[in-house]
Amino acid sequence: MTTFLQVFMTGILTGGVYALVGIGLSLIFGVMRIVNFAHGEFVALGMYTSLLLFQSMGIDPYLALPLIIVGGILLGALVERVFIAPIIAAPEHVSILMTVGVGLVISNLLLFGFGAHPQSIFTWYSTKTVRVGGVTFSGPLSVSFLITLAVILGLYWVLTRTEIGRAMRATAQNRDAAELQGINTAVARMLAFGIGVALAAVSGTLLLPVLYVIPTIGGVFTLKAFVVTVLGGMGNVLGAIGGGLILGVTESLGAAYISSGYRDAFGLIAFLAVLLLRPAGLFGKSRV
Amino acid sequence: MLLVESINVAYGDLQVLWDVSLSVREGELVALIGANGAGKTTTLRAITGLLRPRSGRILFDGKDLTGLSPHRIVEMGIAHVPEGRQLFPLMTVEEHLLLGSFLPRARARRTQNLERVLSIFPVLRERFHQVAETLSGGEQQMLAIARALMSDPKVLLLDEPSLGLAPLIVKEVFGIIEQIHKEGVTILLVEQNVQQALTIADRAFVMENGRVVLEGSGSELLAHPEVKKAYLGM
Ligand SMILES: Nc1ncnc2c1ncn2[C@@H]1O[C@H](COP(=O)(O)OP(=O)(O)O)[C@@H](O)[C@H]1O
Ligand SMILES: [Mg+2]
Repeated sequence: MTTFLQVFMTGILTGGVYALVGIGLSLIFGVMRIVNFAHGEFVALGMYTSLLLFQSMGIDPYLALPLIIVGGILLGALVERVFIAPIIAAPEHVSILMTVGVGLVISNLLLFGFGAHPQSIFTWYSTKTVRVGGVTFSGPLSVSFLITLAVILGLYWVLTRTEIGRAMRATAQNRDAAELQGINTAVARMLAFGIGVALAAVSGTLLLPVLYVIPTIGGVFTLKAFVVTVLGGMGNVLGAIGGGLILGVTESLGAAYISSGYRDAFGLIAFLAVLLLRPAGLFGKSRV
Repeated sequence: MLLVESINVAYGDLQVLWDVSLSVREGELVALIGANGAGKTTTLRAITGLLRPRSGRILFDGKDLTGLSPHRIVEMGIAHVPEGRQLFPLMTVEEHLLLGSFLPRARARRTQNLERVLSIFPVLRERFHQVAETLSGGEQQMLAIARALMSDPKVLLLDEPSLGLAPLIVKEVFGIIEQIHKEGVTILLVEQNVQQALTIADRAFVMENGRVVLEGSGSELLAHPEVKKAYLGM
C-alpha cells in the first residue's frame, strides 16, 4: 500500500509539471488557434538555459526562475512576431510546418551548443527527501510541484483579473469582437505565445533537478503536452491540469507495475483511449 | 462627422458594395435600411475596419480611417454593436462591461460609465455575475449595446438590434436607442424593422443590391411610395 501511495504521489507531482507544459500549449491554441509543435523544444531550451546558468555561474535553477519567465516571454513574443504572425491567416498546415521548423532549429542549436550526451546537475538538495506519513517524496520534485501550483495560480490571476489577461481571453472567444473593444489582437496573440513559451521553459527548469537532459528531449515533451491538452480538451486551460495529473499518474503506475522501459507509452495509451471514447477531451470544449 | 465616400467592398472575387456613400452628422440618428443581403452589415464592417474597401474613403471627424485596424478605429470614438451581438460566450456581464472600457480613455471614466449603463439597463445589474451564454436573447442584445456604451463613443453603429427578439422586447430596445440618442450619442442604425427605424430616425439611407438607392429624412421616406411598397407592405 505504501509503495502504491508512493508511486501514485510521484505521478501527481510529475503530472503537475506536465500540466504546466500542457497549459502553455492550450493557452496558445485557445488564443491563436494554432498547435505549437515546437512546444517541447522550449521545455528543452528552459532546461539547457538553467543548466548553463548553473554550470557557468552557479545559479540555482529555482533562483533562475524569474529570469527564465521574463526571458521566455520575450523570446516567445519575438518568435511569434517573426515566424508566426506573418502566417497566422494561412491554412493550418503552414503553421504546423512553421512550428515544427522552429522546433528543429532549437533542438539542433542545442545539439550544436551542448553535445548529444545526457547531462544533469547535482545540487545539495538533489538527494533530499520529504517524508509524510510513511510516504517518501523526492525533495526537488516536491518543491517543483509547489512552484508549479504557484505559477498556475499566478497565471489564473493574470487571465481573470488583469486588463491584458481579459484581453487575451476575449481574443480567444471572439477575435472580431475583441478588436471592436479596442484590443490589439495581434499583440494579444504575441503575448499569449510569449506566456505559453515561458510556461514551457519554466517546466524545463523545474524538471532539471530531477531529470537527465539531452537535446532531443523536446520531442518527448511536445508529445506529452499534446497528450495533456487532448486529455483536458483542446484550448481548455483548466482541463490541462486534470490532463497533466492523469498523464503523470498513468506513467508512474505503468512504470512501477508493468515496465519502466515503456513509461512514455502508458501516457499514449491513456491518450488513445480518451481520443476513442471522449474525442472532445475529458473536460469538454475550449475554455480559455 | 462620419463620411463614407463611394466605397467598393468585395468578399474575395465577389463584389457586394458598389460606390456606397453615406453621411452621419453630429447628433443625428441615421437609419440604414434595406432587404436581407442588401449590404448593410458589410457597410458597417467596412466602417470599423473589419473589412477593407477596394476603393473609396471613410472619414471620421475629417480623419481618414480607410485601412486602419478595427482597434485603432474604435479608439477614435466609433463603437460597433455587431449583427448577432458577438458576445464573449464564457464571460460574465461584468467582464463584458470591463472589456467595453478596455481603452485607456474609457478606463478613466469606467466607474461613471458603469453607473450610467446599469441605470439604462437595470436587468444587467441583476445578471452582473452571470455568463453571457446563459442570458436571454433580449438581455444579450442589451449587454452588447451596454458594452459598446462603456467605451464612451461619439458614434454608435447598431446592426439589427431587434433581430430575433419578441415584439415587446423590440419596443423596449427601440425606446433605449431613442434614450441614448437623446443623451447626445450620434447613431447609425441598421434595421429591417423599417417602420420603427424610420419613425425614430432623423435621416435614412435605403440600400438595394449593394447600392444606396434612396436618401431622405425619416418622415419623407416613411411617406415615399417605393419604400411603402417594398418595406412597409402598403
Ligand atoms: N463572409 C461572406 N462571404 C461572402 N459573401 C458574403 C459574406 N457576408 C455577406 N456576404 C454577401 O454579401 C452580401 C451583403 O451581405 P450583408 O452585408 O450581410 O447584407 P445585409 O446586412 O444587408 O443583410 C450578401 O449577398 C451576402 O450573401
Ligand atoms: Mg446584416
